[in-house]
Amino acid sequence: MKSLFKLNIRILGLFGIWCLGFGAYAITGEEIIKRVDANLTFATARTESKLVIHIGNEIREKELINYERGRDTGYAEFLSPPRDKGIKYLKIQDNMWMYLPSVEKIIKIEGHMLRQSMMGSDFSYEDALESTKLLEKYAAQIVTEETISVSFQKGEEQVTKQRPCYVIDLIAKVKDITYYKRRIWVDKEVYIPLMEELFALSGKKLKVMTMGDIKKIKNRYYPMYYTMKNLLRSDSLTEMFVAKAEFDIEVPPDTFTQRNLK
Amino acid sequence: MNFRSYLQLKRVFPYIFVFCILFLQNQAAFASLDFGGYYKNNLIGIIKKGGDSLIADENKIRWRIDLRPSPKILLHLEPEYATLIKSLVVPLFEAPELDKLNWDRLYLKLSFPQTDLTLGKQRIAWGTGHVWNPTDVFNPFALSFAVAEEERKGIEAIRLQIPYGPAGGFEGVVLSGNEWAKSKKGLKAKVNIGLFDLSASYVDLGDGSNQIGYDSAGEIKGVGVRSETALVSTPAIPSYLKSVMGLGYTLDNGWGIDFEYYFNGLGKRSLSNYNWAGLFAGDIVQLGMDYAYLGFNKIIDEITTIQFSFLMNADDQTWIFFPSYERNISQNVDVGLIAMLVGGQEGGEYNPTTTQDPTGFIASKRILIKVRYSF
Repeated sequence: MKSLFKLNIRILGLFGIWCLGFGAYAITGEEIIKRVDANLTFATARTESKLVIHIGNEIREKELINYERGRDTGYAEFLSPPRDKGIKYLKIQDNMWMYLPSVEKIIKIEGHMLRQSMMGSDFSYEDALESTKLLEKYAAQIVTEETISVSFQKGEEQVTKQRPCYVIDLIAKVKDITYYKRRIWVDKEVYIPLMEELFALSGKKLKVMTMGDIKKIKNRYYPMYYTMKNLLRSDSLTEMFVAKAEFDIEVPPDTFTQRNLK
Repeated sequence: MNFRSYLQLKRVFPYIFVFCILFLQNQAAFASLDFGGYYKNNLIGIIKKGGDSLIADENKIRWRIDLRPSPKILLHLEPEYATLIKSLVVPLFEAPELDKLNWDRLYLKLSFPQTDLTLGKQRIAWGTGHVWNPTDVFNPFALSFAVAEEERKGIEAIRLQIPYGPAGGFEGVVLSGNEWAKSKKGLKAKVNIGLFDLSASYVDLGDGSNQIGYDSAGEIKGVGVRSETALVSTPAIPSYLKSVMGLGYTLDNGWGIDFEYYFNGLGKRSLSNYNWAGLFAGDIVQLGMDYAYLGFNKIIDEITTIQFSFLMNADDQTWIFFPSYERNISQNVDVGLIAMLVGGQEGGEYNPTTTQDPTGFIASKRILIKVRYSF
């Protein structure tokens, strides 16, 4: 009888642990990524941003305006500094073009060039071009939960917040992809990625991106602060401050055409 | 003789401008004025074949001015002023006229619902090749040691562009300044299919010759692929082909590799048949038939780039080697250090004897230190 009781206790214990486990991951990795996509996918958007590129002790600043339609169409124009003013980018699905005002020429950014640094930042053209939903290329799995410290610059102030996150591993369904694995920390409350590590097929960590200063704009949450660190470069970091973001606005149809580049 | 043969486009041009100014007067006051430009200094050291050396220092200021009285009207101006101090006479193939204000670009662009019309001195850049552009006949640019592509002189033209879809369209260009029959005129159609941009063109070269061409740029399995071909038909000599095939790839470590092969149907494969007189007279720009370009570049950090460019005449195995180092030393200041070395068989295109090139400049060794301030 005593042994039967012990056995029941063990079964109950195991059942309890199983229930706890089930409760912790009541949501799947795929569902979390779908919610992330819902936050970061919009009919149209217009943002005004500033890139602050840190290279050792040196800093370069660039301002740009960005228009997006869905996840696969975008237009960006650099407003400053003078050496970059008027450089424009257009992306339509997997195609990207750059317009150089100095030579009045549109150049196609071909596949291999997408890996190169965009305007001297830690972002590559590929990072900027990425348009497909993550689940189309990756399989998602929850790894654990973690509370992470999120720091971001808000004006002159450095803000740090503790945020509970789901940690998701995204493994590419194909091998011919720049980032074979991505580990994403997704805020449990607002479903915005707060940190992302990007890995090559070899397992080498290539880049680390963070997001902060999450704001609610209309019915969605949107990060107003990003950082990207390319680990293949020494001592460099790019910050992106979103000064203004508007969603689901009317954008002239000519915006996403090569005509608008010239 | 018909009326069109008497029509000199240059005479028509001022009337078009007057019409446009009248059109502008009906618009609101200038809604926007953009002003920018750069100052640059090029310090060049040259050791000529034969041993003479010289130093030259070029100073240039160039402005870029955009006046937009309305979103549909743009008046674009790019005046520049350059001076050159030199220890010996330097031949200037590509440089602007010195010690005077040059209006390199000066055009009016009118945007109608389905059409853009550009009138005036402008840059028309056709083709997808990085080093050679056989279809770029209006103001072609050849890879140069000291002259940036943006400094290539504009041409006076009337250009009509009709977009078709987000990345396609039609284009018509007529150069002004000549009788209609002698004016260079071109038509081009462009389309994007999948990951490729494709275009086809036809140009009446105005001297009884014409050119049909195509170009493409895209990627196959992550490798950048581009090609450009022109078939030139002239009454004086048999038709000939100019063609470029290029590949590009960026390695995981950030090194970019760029390769281009150029076939010049007008050139010769044998040194003894080279047309040196034609080259110096400016009738031709290359002597050989087969050329190759190999370039390596790497962005060391976000503000420093190194590049190694190797250009070869494959017929006579003469070559030019351009190593360069460029750094953005502050937000608006860039500096660069570029060298040019030549070698290979003596008597070849890039390493001529002093008899073939009495100036000694083609096979000279050069170094350039450049500083540029953008404003």
